[in-house]
Amino acid sequence: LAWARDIKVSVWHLSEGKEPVCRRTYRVRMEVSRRRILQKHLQPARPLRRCSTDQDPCFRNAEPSVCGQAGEKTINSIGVEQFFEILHLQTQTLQKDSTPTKVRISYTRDFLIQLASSPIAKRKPDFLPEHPVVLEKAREPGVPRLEKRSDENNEMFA
Amino acid sequence: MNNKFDALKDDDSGDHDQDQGSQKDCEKEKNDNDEDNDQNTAKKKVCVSPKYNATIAVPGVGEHPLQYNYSFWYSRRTPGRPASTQSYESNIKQIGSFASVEQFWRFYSHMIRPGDLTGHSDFHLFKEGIKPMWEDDANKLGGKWIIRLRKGLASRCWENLILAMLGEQFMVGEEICGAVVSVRFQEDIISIWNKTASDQATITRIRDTLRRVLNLPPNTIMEYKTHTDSIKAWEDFHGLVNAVGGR
Repeated sequence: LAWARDIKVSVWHLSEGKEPVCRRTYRVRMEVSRRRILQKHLQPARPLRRCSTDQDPCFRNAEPSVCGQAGEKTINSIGVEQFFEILHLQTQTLQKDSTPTKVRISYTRDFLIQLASSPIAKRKPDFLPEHPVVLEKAREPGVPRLEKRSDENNEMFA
Repeated sequence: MNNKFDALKDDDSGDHDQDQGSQKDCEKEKNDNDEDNDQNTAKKKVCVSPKYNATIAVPGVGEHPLQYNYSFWYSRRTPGRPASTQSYESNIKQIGSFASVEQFWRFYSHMIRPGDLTGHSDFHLFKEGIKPMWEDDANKLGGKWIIRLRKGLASRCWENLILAMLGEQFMVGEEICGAVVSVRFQEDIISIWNKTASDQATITRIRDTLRRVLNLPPNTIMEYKTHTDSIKAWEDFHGLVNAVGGR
């Protein structure tokens, strides 16, 4: 059980016009994959407040069977699956902004050229085939002066 | 007749000089290597074949990772021999793969500059897993922007082009496949390949980025060519040569 962790699941009572009340708190043992999801979201019952407050009347009208019930009677408990569904929705929304895979690793030309002068960038690769285009020793970075000069006149392109 | 030769000339960048038969051989060998590689996934730096060097590159500690891994390739047409008798394998060679900026410089600084190449030869820099061939799955619906350069400019333009590609300056998602510099008799050609030839927005954005990163004068001629057109021109040309009997 080294990979498990206890978390708390709270059951809230919701009634119209009142603040949600926490009735019961369960201790639940989670396996590690769940834990990762939960670590960031330990104020879970929040989203349900939307159902009981008046800040979104459109929402209530659109879903009268769900929200009306919540308002009149109160929800006594949330199933654990429902609970994870809510968390999952939250996690997905967050991932859109913060997952590393969505971030593009980009570098400017100047930055890349700066890195060319670091010692590790000059070491010969471990696996390099013997080939006429392959050099024994690293050449100096940059383009020969002759080419640079031809770049300055305007007839550069054929 | 002239038209057909012109069509080939237009397409004179990239990898069209191989004959089909040996391409298939090559594919077979590549697949074999992939299988070998799968068995060795635990060891990341196993060199499966010196010819293919099918290792999975990973960034070293403290290095600057790239958005994608890339591979350098080199190809050269043997002088005096017709293209169709060449084996693909002897014609195109993978130099190595890298996953970080530092690893890129290690390869790049140990290869001669395209401007110092002689004869009919190409450097290719493609995303790892994409072969610099029209027929590759990533390329078959794609195309390329072509810029012809007068002699003496290839090294600098090639460097600017690949730095922009590695640094993700094109901002077209997954669309870029790779870049090629082709050294020819009287001119050099640089080109950049993308996945979807029908994606106008992407193609326009690549063109505009090319102008910016290569600092091209406004009157520079840039042409976009789909790989389907390239294949057709190649087939027409070889069909023509066969019909005349001169392979």
